[in-house]
Amino acid sequence: MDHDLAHRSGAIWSPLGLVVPPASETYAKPNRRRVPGVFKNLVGMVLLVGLVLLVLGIVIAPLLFWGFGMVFVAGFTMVAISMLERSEQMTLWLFSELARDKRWRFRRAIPPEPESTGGKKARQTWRQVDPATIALHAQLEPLMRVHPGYLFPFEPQGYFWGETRDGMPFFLSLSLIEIQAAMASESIRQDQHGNRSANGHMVQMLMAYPLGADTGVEAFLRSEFLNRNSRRGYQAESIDFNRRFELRMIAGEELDLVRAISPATQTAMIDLADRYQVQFLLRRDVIWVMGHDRIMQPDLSTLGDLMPKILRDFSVGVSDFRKYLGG
Amino acid sequence: MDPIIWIVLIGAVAGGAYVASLNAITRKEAQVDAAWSGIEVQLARRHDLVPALVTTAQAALSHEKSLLAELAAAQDAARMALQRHDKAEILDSEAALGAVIGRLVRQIATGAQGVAVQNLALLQRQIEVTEDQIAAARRIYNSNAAAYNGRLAGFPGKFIAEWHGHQPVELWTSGKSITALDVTSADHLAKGLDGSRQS
Repeated sequence: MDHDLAHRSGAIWSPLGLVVPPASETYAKPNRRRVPGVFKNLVGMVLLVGLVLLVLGIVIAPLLFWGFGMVFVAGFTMVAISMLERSEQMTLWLFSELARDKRWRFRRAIPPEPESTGGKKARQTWRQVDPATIALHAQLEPLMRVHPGYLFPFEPQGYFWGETRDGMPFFLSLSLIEIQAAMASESIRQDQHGNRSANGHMVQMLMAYPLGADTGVEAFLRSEFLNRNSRRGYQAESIDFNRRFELRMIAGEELDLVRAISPATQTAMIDLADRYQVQFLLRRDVIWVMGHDRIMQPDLSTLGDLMPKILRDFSVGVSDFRKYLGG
Repeated sequence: MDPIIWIVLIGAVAGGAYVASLNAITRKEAQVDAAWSGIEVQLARRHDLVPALVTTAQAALSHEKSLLAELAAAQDAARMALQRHDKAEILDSEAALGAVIGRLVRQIATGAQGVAVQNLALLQRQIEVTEDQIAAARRIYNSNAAAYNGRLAGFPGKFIAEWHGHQPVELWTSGKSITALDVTSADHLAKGLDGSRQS
């Protein structure tokens, strides 16, 4: 408990001592202009070609000019598209609608920005970062950063506090990333919800909930690269489990770890890894689960219908093996 | 290049492949054994629940002696099989034990009153978790065994396994599996609890 500072703020459970906002933030649906997906894909291709030229420029120097140019133009256009579509405001509106629908507590994750004084940007390079984001990075850096087994960095955009249908309290952080899959394989263009498109969104989810009992163990379970067992860390009895997870113990006795990572825990984690590419942090009586799902629909506003289903399925999946770990 | 260098190179590659393949087979065989040990641990846990089940049954069903005798006999057989580490015998005896436990739990849930039902609710949760663990251990064993058998069927594993006496292991097929207990559903038990409270 000391490690996580898990506590109840009022009636709301919160890990890591994260402060629960007194009320949910609400955001109105912004007026915006939609940019055709074909144009976004074109910009994505320009960016890709620019990056290839930059690499080739190591050998053929003149290509560096074109590479830098294309990357700059593509990056600038992407920022312009994001401003036109008001993606950030749309995301916040989606999140606040989700919280209102589910009666969860919600606040946005304050995006990092330069420190300002008296309305003017300071010259110093330090940045204001959300305290919750700092706390998450401090404790969950091995999960949140890019590594060979997980290629998508997690930068929280919204924080939620709530309870599942069966009364289990949880903390949730979400992030939406736009996907351009014009040149991707068919399997990437389709999602698990029957949608198919060259443009879509990745929903990244980081969830924590109390296990109800102290496992006595602190351990990371990180995705392995291409489901190949790197033979680093603790090896469980399941070959499939070892292929999917690199299990590293931070603190505790190995006997407790063996008890916690029981056969049922292993198979449940394997199933979750196949569906959501999950990673875990077990901190004694709290488990953190990070995973993602894809929605291959180009328009952000249509995500509102699918988000509750995705989160429900995810929370059911991650809480299903709670009885094997704790209470 | 000198032919001797070629011969040495080819020999080194072949030797390396041989050692790597043999190591992989041995490692996978060890993982199959570890998975089987995991099953035995869970089965022993199931056996440990039987005394509590007997106590609950005695309190709830004082008239039901034959089923308790059947349970005792099935547990003895299962324990003996587990001590002998005979896989086929373990599968058969555990299937029989599981069937008796399932019947007994159903009988208690329909006939028990008061404290016995509350004890059963606790026991029910332990049995369910244990059954889940057994099912998961079985899945892990089958998955490991399939990986091991796959290694033995491929090249050069097939020849290396034959030279070193490694044999494929049998998977748990549905006909020979330890059946998951058909224990009383939570709804049924809740009805039993309500009934006992009303009475």
